[in-house]
Amino acid sequence: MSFAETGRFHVSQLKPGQDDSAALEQARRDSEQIFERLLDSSNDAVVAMDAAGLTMGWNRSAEAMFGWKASEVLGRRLSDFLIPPEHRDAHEVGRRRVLSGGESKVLNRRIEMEAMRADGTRVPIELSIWPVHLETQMVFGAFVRDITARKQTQAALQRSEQRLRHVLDHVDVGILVVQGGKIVFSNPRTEALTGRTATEIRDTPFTEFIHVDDREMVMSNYAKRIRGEQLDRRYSFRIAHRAGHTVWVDLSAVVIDWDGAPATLSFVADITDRKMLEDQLTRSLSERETILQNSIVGIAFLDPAGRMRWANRALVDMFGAGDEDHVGLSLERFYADREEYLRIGAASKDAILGGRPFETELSMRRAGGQAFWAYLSGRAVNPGDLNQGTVWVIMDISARKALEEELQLSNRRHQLVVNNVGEGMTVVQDGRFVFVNPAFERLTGYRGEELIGSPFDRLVHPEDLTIILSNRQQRLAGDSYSQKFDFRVLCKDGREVWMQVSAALVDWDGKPATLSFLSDISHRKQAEADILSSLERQKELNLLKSRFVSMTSHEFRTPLAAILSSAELLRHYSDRMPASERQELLESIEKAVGRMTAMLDDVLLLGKVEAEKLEFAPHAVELSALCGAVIAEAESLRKSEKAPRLVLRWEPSLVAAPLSLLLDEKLLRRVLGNLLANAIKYSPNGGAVTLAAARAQDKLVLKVEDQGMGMPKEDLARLFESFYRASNVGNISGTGLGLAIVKHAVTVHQGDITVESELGRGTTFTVRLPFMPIEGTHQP
Amino acid sequence: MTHDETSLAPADSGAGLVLIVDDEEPIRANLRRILRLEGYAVCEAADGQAAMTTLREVTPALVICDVMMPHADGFAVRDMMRADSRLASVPLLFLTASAQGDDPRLGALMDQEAMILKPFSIAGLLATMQRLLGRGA
Repeated sequence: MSFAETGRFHVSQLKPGQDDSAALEQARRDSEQIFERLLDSSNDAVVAMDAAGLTMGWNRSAEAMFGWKASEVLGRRLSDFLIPPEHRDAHEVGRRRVLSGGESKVLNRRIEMEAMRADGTRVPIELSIWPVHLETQMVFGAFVRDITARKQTQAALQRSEQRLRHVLDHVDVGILVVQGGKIVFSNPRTEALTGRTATEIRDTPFTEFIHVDDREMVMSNYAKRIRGEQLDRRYSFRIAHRAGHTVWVDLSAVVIDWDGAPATLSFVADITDRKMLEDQLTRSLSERETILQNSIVGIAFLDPAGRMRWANRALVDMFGAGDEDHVGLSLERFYADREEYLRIGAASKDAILGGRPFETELSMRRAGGQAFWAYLSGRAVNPGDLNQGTVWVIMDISARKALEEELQLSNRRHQLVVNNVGEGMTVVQDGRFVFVNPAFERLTGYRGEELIGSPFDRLVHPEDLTIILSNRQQRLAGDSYSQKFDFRVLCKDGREVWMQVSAALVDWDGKPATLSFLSDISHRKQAEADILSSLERQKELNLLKSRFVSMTSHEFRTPLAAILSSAELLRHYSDRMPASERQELLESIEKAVGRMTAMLDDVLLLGKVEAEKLEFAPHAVELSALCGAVIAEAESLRKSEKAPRLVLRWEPSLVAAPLSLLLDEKLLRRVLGNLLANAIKYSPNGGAVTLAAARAQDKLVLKVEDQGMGMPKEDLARLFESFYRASNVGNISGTGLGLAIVKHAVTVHQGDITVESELGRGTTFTVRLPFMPIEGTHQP
Repeated sequence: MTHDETSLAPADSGAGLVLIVDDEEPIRANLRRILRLEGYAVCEAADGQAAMTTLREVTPALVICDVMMPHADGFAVRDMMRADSRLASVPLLFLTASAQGDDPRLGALMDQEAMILKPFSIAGLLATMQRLLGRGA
């Protein structure tokens, strides 16, 4: 057999055939050609190797499969390029063993292995080797199939199966196939659900695993499903676990074809937990319902429009609404009026939209119309979704309101007392005001808010602080202390007000504090001071009176001495005296008596003045005549050449000639006479005494001015008091009555008198009287 | 000061010169009448200051002096006299209108001094004068 012309098969030793004939030759050639075509068209690679291991056959598929051209590999050792290096030794050992007639592990068998390709990659192959015993030698032929695709499919299948297995093994759902009443397939989860092994599951009718009470239902469903009847894909039943407990499962099943026969593929999920939760939920919902229903507070759920969805018993009872159906009704009829209902509605809407609960107290009405106080609290069922409506809690707080009102009334009464009590009330704790009442605010001029929290001692006169603090210490220490004492309070306007305080230790918000009652005793203090000062005055008055007595004594004793001595002279010496001298003595007696009478008149007049019985009898008085008369009288008082000159001056504002004014002549004579006499008496060094008359608007102004000894300023203010005499009178006699009488005489004329004086320079008295001319006389 | 033109006359009766000091003219007048009738020589002063002026020139046998007077009172006159050796022993008769004991100075008089309260009797006055003059003499 020679394939030499094809170049693909090389027959190293070809024995000439028995049939040499041409036809035979042709036939042989044809046969070789067919064989060659056959080899080339094979999808499998066909490879031949001689006994030495050299390549002797390599068809087209081999070329494609391994990347070597036939021309490249023929004659080369096959193992060098085709067998992977790790198998080459085994290949060589096997080849020799076969050649030496030994057993072969590879011949006439399908072997899978890897082969090398021209580009160095490997290709999975399946090969079968067959030996060809030639006469000269033994050669080997091999069919080689590329099994890459098969290998890949196998691997994919394996992966897929593995994945399915993972799913079946680990899925949380029991998966089982029931066929002919038996479980023909189950996954591990099914084992866990039932508490049985896979074998036990397969050997037992599946109904065994079902809770006795659910068997019939599950069997019937299975039968229906198999018959193709309409049925819910899912339902729940209980599995009787081998350990004795019950497992709630949810079953979902479909009919499938399983090994050519109908079966059900079921998915079984453990819903025990869910069932328990559901039971719990149902239970707790019913508990809640019970709680809500039996709650003593009224509870209502309203829809977003404010209509009743649900109300508990307490609410219905509270409103006295009876057993009618309240669902869908508004609560408006329980409000005092529509306005109130709308007002509360708006306010609660604001609050709830703002994410806040709404609370209020208001007067509501029961179905019977009876009013009662209610506490109302509303909030959104779900603040995130206002469409879920609102939940309301309503409480009847009439009793509390009544108590509150009672408390308020009581508080108001206390407040009324505290606010209206005339005494100031304070509570001081830790040295600071914690309470003051309005009376204290009035007393001090501070407002309560200015005082609360501020230290109390800033209102205490520094000199009185010691007694306050020591009393307070004693009080807080529980020692005895004076209940009442006086101290000075510093008022806001800077006044110091004497107050009497009476303090007591009290408990104020759980801590000791001092409750004080303060009364303004400035009037009492003033009265005390007044009494003191009036005592002082009385003393002074007594002094003045004793001075008066002493002065009066002097004033009386002097004329008395003149009278007595004159009388004795007349009695004892009249025979030795000329008649003229006797006459002088008698006149002296008369003058002294006159002087005493005038003095007595003064005293009596002052008595009248002080008893306000001074007679005032105004009539027409010729002013110029009166002034002339008093000047003439005053002249008689000028006893020495040192005595001052007397001057009468008419101011131009006053026309002298006959001017009749409405005056009390007697009193006016006394006024002017006294002022002139004083002016003369207190001008020991002479000078001028001027009586000036003038008119200023509607006043008659009379001035008596001297250039005498004057008076200290401090005496002027008291000069017109009875018995008061200037401090510098020395031995100049006088009763201190004259100016007091003058003052009163001026006052009854509705006039006034003032004095100006300077020590050593003189004194001026100014009398102002109403200018009231009599009709018919000359008007200036 | 009034110098009496008849002041030499009392010298015969053995009576000395008497200075009358009083601010009340009626009192001075009556004292002058009494003393002259009793044979005394008299000189007068209307107040303490005038009396002191007179006393600088005259050394009377006796001074009859009011207490309350303008300018200088009776005590000023006494102090002046007692401070002057010439006048220190001259008797002084206070004739006062003040209430008795009003002034403690009148309660503590020296031997050559006496006090008579107004109004006074002529007999009392003359007796006191003679007692003072007798001692002084």
